[in-house]
Amino acid sequence: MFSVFKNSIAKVKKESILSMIFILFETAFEIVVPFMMAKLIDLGIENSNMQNVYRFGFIIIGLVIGQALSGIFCAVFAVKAGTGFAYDLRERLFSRLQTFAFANIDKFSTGSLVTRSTTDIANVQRAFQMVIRGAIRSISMCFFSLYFAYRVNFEIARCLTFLVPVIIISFVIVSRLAMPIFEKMFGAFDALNNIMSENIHGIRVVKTFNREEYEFDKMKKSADDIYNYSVKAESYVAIWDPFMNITVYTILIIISWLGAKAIIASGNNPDLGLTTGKLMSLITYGLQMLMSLMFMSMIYVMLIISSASIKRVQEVLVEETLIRNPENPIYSVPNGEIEFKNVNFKYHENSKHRILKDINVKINSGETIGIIGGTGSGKSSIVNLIPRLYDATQGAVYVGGHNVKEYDLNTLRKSVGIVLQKNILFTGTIASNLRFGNENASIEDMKEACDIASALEFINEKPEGFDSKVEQGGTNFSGGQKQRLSIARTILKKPKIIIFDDSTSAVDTKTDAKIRNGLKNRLPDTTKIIISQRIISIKECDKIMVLDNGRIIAFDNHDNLLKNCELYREINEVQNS
Amino acid sequence: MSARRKMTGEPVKKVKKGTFLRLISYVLHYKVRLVFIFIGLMGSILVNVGSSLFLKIAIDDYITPMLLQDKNNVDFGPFKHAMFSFAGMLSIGVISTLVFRLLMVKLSNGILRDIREQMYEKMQKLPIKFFDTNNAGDIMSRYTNDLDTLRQVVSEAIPQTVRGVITFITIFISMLMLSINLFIVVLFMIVVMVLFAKWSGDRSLKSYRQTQASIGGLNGYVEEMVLGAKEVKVYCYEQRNIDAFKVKNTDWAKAVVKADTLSNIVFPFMNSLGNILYVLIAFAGGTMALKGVTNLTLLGPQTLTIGTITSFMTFTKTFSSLIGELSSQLPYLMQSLSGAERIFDLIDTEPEIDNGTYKLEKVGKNSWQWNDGENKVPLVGNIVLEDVNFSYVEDKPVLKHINVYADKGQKVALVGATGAGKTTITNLINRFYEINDGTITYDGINVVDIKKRDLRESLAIVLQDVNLFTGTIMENIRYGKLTATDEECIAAAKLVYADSFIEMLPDGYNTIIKGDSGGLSQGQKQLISIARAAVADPPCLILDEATSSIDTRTEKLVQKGMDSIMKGRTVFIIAHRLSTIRDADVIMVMRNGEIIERGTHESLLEKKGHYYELYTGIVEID
Repeated sequence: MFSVFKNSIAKVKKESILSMIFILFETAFEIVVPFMMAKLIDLGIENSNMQNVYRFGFIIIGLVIGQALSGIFCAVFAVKAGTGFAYDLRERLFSRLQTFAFANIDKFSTGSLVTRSTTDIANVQRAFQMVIRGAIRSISMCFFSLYFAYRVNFEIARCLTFLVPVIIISFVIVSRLAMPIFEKMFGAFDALNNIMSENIHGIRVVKTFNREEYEFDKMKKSADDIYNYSVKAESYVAIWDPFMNITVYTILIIISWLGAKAIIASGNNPDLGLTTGKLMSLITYGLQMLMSLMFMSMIYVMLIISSASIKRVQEVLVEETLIRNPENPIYSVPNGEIEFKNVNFKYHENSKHRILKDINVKINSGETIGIIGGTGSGKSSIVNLIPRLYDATQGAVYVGGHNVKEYDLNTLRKSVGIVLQKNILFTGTIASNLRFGNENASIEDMKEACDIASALEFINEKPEGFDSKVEQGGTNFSGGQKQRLSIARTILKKPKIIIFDDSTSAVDTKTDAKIRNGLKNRLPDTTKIIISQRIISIKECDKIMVLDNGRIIAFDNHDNLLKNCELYREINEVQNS
Repeated sequence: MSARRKMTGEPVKKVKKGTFLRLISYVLHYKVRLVFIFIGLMGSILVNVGSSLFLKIAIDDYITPMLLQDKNNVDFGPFKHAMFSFAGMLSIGVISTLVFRLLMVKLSNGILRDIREQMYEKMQKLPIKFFDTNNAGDIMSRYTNDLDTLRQVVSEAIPQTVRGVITFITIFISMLMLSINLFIVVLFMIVVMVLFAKWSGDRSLKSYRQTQASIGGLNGYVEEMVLGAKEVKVYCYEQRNIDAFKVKNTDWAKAVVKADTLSNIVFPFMNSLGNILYVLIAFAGGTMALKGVTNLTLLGPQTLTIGTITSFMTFTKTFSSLIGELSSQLPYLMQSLSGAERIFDLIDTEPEIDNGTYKLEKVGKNSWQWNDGENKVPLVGNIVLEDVNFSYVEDKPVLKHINVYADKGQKVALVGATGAGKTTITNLINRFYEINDGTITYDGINVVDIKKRDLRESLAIVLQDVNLFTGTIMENIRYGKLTATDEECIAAAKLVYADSFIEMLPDGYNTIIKGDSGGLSQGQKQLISIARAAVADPPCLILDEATSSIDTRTEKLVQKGMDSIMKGRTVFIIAHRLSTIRDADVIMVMRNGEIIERGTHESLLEKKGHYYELYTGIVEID
């Protein structure tokens, strides 16, 4: 189960082993201390022998210092190991995410990937730390205590040994019974959080339809579920406490009873058997054993709780990217020619519904192509195949005369720029966002690109110009500004093919026209593909592809389409009437 | 658009004193339970403390005398008897613990339920302004993270601390009853331990906060980059992304190592101090016993016996571990109380007020009447805004001298750039916000005098950002009118052309919508939300970019259905796509909070003013 974490564990092997060794020392000291304390009482205090009191007193102080030191070293190494493990795991996970293709991302959904790489990974880290520190400590403590108990008195130690399985079994039973209720409780929490979140985001809807009480009842019902499950689940945990009391007290009584008999038999003579001092240390061992068992059970519960997180992190780590670099890839794209040969496409292997059907089309280098069609007609899907954001299910896509699968992925994607429908800007400055596409872009390059994208005007209006702050998601920019910055960002890559996926929808028609003109005059050799809902944005294209339900139903210029394509004519009428 | 203020991470501040007392006031609701809990707790503690003396008694009073008896004829009778009474005492302890723990579970969950319900009730009463000015994530975290911290405080930290404090006091008194002289030695060590605990506590709390900040930074980066993962691919940003991540990851790891090392060495260190104290007591006790020093106790001067010393030593161990526990727990307890404070702040937020007296009653299909307690008048549906001024933030007017006259059955369109104040007008009509001055009347009645519930019931709003709720499509349509039959819902869906795509789904109207309403496009969600408003059948409709994500061809189809919904109703319509509003009775063009032009489509085009520029695309509507 933990094989995918092997590498991360290997990274901190030294620290882990060192911390385990120091734990062994620490527990050994901890066990010997009560042994010496018993002697201090037996031979010192009981006999009013101050010399022995001092002798054992200083031995104990020595041991205590040893224990403290090994404890501190253990803490230092355990923290290093735990953090190092988490550090490596986070990096591995993040790097793995970078290899994911769009299809991999869709499979998990971005929201779930965020949870997996933040909350879940923290849980895994906690589990790891628990295991290396707590598990080793409690297991060794249990063994040490039993070992010393056997050394002191065989019969009593045997009784203690019998208790181990009793405690373990009863714990397993309790946790088996409690676990499903805990799961239900967590389920109820999720349900409630979902209601809360929907209410916070949809508060206008709630208030508009006067559904305050209705929503409150929903929450109250959910909260009652939480109450009932929590009380049930926590009661199991609460029972655990008195149960531990019973075991502690049983140990006390058994040891005292058997101990008393043994002491009478030996006449309290250390050479013949058990003494009162040794009886006290036996009790300490018994309790320490119990404590360690209790601790082990806590670790067990922790592991069960975090096992879901472990699984979720694992799923990401073992996920293979669906799009990978070929062997002996081609490192340069000769030109911006594009060809689709018998392309069919589905988002999921198993889905019956084909998003693209029998696409055969050729676009010459330097042409400007428009794509139009209704929602769900396959406009975005068709262009996503060009930079291999997805791979065609059947058939092949060619760029510059080569199958896209033969190119080095970075080479291909640097040559094929795409401005996505949903533009995302990142925290930073305008300049840092523009350099997202090309880290070496100079100020002149940026000015040039922004000029083509008609973004220079509003950037210049800002007091800080290119250094103006961008908030997460670019929320401090309007839709049209974000689109223009995204266009500039793509132009900066100097691609051979540039795709606009409905990326001027929020820009006014005049600016839209200006951008198109700029592209035409200043990037004449670049192949341009423009997806738009607006006829006006594409009517001047060399050719326009009309998509309907995953098929190209026409591919021609504006005038011919008006004559020959009914759907195109219809769209045109709706928009011009 | 509303004035959204970004909430930046608020700094950790000192917890108000009242917070703790207020939390206690919730506990005091359960007086009877509390009494039993206290009895159980005391029983549990006393037995626990007593049991640590048991062995001493067994050895001194029974085993040692038995050793003096004839070895072959030892009388175990008294010992057996003592064991039974001891077992009896322990059973009382076990039962007390059981009672205490089980009641505590009920108590803590009961308190949480009380607080939770108060919070839910509050959510429904808070004004829209609260949701607009606070970040959704921040509000959500009060309902999740802060409640969860509170849960830990109430169900774990507080009982543990109470238990610890009571045990502490019990042992403290027991020790004083045994020997005040020896306690002075303990006192000296306590000072050292408390000083150390405070030193390390302050430091670890500080580095704990630093760790929280750096994990926040790391997670924030990961979140942004995962949400923007597609951008990362498209711009080949992967390698640079990993490099930047490594820097943040390293910072985080450094902070964690620092904080955790400190907090992890505290325990072994305190433990050792406790053991040293144990030895010191042995030294001091032994010396005192030998030298015959007078032993002062709470019960008067007594001789220091060997039994007293060993018992005292047993107490010392528990005592020192308690000090460590309590002093390390307190700073975290205080820290988590700040979560409780945020919850109370939310509960204390001013709720929405409603002083309206006019009722609006539905008397039949699309037929309503006013009721002020005496007269009943049929509703007409005239909405008038007169000289309305409004600002979200003082001195930043959003609407200036707005006059709007909407007669029954009229379609009023609002047009203008983002921030011009279109949505704000609709927010004022249904009183999501209160106007600064001017009047808004509904059939001549000032909206302030109308019961808010009824006012909103009569104005259905369809928003651009569709919010659907977990449940089936049918349930979501029915949200507009809870008593609507399936047939009514389907009829509404048919009206807005949502029926065809819903029927295409494998489960049809019973398709469950969850989370991001996966599978449905934005346009499809908008259709459902229009159907939801249609089912509500209100006299007045507000459509705020309601069809923005529906493609032009489908919109044309939907338009027919929309026309029949709008018929006979007063409708306010906001749209980016000007083709949608061409046939409005009156179009108001807004700029910077003012209405700069008004008229029909034709008259405005003729005027060649701002509307003309917008319509021909000369000026960007954004």
